[in-house]
Amino acid sequence: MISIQLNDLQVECEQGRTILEVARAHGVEIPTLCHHPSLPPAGLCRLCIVEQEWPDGERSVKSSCTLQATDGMKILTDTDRVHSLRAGVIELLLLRAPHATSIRDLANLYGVEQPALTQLQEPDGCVLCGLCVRTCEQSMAREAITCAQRSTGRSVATAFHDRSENCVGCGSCVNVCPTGVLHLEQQDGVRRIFWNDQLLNETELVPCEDCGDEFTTRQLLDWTAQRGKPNAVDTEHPVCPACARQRQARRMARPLARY
Amino acid sequence: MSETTTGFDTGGIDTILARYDGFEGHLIGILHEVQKLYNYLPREALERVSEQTGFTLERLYSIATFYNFFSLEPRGKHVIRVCTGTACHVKGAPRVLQEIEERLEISSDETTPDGQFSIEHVHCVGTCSLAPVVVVDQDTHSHVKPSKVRALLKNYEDKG
Ligand code: SF4
Ligand code: SF4
Ligand code: FES
Ligand code: FES
Repeated sequence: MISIQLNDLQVECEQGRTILEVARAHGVEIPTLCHHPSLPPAGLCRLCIVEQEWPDGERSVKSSCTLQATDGMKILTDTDRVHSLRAGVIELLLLRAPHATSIRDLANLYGVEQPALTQLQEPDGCVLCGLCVRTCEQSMAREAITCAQRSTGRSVATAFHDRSENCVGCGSCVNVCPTGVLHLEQQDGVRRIFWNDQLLNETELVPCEDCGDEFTTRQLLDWTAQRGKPNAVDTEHPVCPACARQRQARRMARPLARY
Repeated sequence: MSETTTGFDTGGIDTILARYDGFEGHLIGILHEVQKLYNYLPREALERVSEQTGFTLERLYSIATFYNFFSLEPRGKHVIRVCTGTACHVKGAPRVLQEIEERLEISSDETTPDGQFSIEHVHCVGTCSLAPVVVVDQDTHSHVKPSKVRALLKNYEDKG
């Protein structure tokens, strides 16, 4: 265990924790955008910045999602400087995704109004946090979407903006997207994943054997089976998680019924 | 033998890939060689590389679109790179670029219909003291004036 100072609190934590993790464990609010607990930190959005105060009183600005706690560290999460730097970041985010609820909420919280900067291009609603790309690659091991181009033209895309043959329709990217530019539609047995109005892929929905709920896709079932994941759903007889629990409960209740 | 269903010859790609044992960390080098083969990166070529290396087409696309050096469009036999970096800009690069565009009757990022020339603009090639700089294929031309453009292009036309 090591000890750090977090604003006015003296807190203990394990070696190797990030400041963000420690802060959250102690109820200290730090906003994040590109961070997800199940992914390695990326340090991309700079929203989670805090100040580290050195023994000589000097302070430096760090991103808390990538900063590891060390013994005796002093961290300030709520200074004027932190506040105004975050507001600057939010202003830029607002330019890219003016309609996203998550970004507008942040703007309200930090008192950011209409950005002073002028818009050079039509906002596409994507803040390029990379969560979708990283989830697809690291959690799903698919790499079905990527960041293409560079500089101001950078955007989330599939190869040649065509349907991605690597997308299994798991919807993980949709779940982590903070702005909602990634979305999912299900109709007539087909799941479609979109980035804005660009179709990433179409996959085939599979119903649960028990309740008939279309809970997954054929491509995802095959991929999880291929990866040899424990708890993989039976590809031949797919059962959704809720029904699987019920089956389990019935199995457990059966021997009891004998008494 | 090594053809795709659309009749695209992938033999050259396979030869390139055969020289590598393990592809991780070599993707840029591989794409570099493939581009040399075709003068650009055709989609079929990327598909073949993807198939053979196991990297998704998305990963390759991301690299191919990130680096200025790679092109997904066919390029002319001669690629004219006009530097529009700060020093070159100040020294009149925009007028040089304009002159080249007018003479070839194409804009930046385009290729002449006869496939001879492509124009690209780049941001600083690292020889600012020679500004304005125009790089054609491997040759660096320094202190280029609009009035010198005609002769410069002629030089390459003659080479065929
Ligand atoms: S839905 Fe497709 S693109 Fe999104 S994470 Fe899953 S495989 Fe990747
Ligand atoms: S699509 Fe969503 S998750 Fe992906 S980079 Fe854009 S905002 Fe982030
Ligand atoms: S959450 Fe730390 S940089 Fe994005
Ligand atoms: S600006 Fe043209 S070479 Fe540097």
